[in-house]
Amino acid sequence: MKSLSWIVGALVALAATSAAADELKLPKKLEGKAVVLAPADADYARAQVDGAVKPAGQGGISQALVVRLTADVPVYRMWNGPDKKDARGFTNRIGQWWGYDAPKGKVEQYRVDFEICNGWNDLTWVATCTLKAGSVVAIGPGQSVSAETCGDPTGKESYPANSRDWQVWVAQAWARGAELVCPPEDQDYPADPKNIKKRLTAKKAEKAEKTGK
Amino acid sequence: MTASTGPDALEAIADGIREKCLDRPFGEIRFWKFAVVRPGDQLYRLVSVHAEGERLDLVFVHDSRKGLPGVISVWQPEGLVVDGAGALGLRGAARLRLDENEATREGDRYRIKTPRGEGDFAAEDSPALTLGR
Repeated sequence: MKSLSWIVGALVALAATSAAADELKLPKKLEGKAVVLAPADADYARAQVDGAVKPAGQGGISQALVVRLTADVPVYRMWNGPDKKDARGFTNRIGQWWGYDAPKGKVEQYRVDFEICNGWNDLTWVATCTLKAGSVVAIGPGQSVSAETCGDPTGKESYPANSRDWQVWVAQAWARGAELVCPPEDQDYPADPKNIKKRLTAKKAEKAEKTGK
Repeated sequence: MTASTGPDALEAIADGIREKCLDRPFGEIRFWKFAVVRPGDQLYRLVSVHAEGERLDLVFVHDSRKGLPGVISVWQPEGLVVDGAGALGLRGAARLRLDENEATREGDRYRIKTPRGEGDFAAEDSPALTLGR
């Protein structure tokens, strides 16, 4: 009887935890700067949230809040820099994934915090843009990424879900120049991988090239 | 070439894609479980489909309509599945390629070759190609 009541108690606790996990709340950093939109709101569809939420192991975010900004908010994106273009001729400076926390710390930790596979983004430069008041976007905690999703045959590159560092999904960011206002590219900076808040100096870049680190 | 991927079957798949998937946006490109691009970071649209021998070429452009077109090549495609939103899936394929990324079916596994290296994984029930939202 004692073991049965323990099991029942554990199940009740698990259910409560699961219910709490499903109830996203506006992060403190956005309090006073955004309002949460309900699915019935006429503007909810502007977020196109179905493109952001993914199942476990597949990247994206695990859950989404749709918000309308009530103030301008700086947003940040790490990218490959101006010299690296894909086969279509694009750099990856502008995309749909952004963050409202300024990048800091080591680049390896940033990659883990935001579940970004090595093959997707070199994370060598930082762009800072402004998401204007009135914008409607999806925000949420990052979803896990499996080694199969990253395409890492060793099985070493995978990323757990992160409920602490939320991401911002700006649907069709390239078509929203009035809402996502970005300065000219020369305002971005190459990041010091040991402290991505700082610009990589020429001296450090040279040292890195010599040592391969 | 099997009966299921003969010229008529290939053209039937091409016709199905042309009818249901052209100009529908997709933000995921997966070769089995491998996400070739970061899911949801960019958006693309299929603009044309070409069948050649046992290969289908799916031509796409970025949603912005800027830049050069890309081509996803699929050898011996099988089992076209399209959902209500126009997301495309091919249940089977012998080989797929996009730029420097390639994946090949090997029995119940698939092997990928990328600029970062190569290796194989269990295919399980994953569709060979997913162009999803």
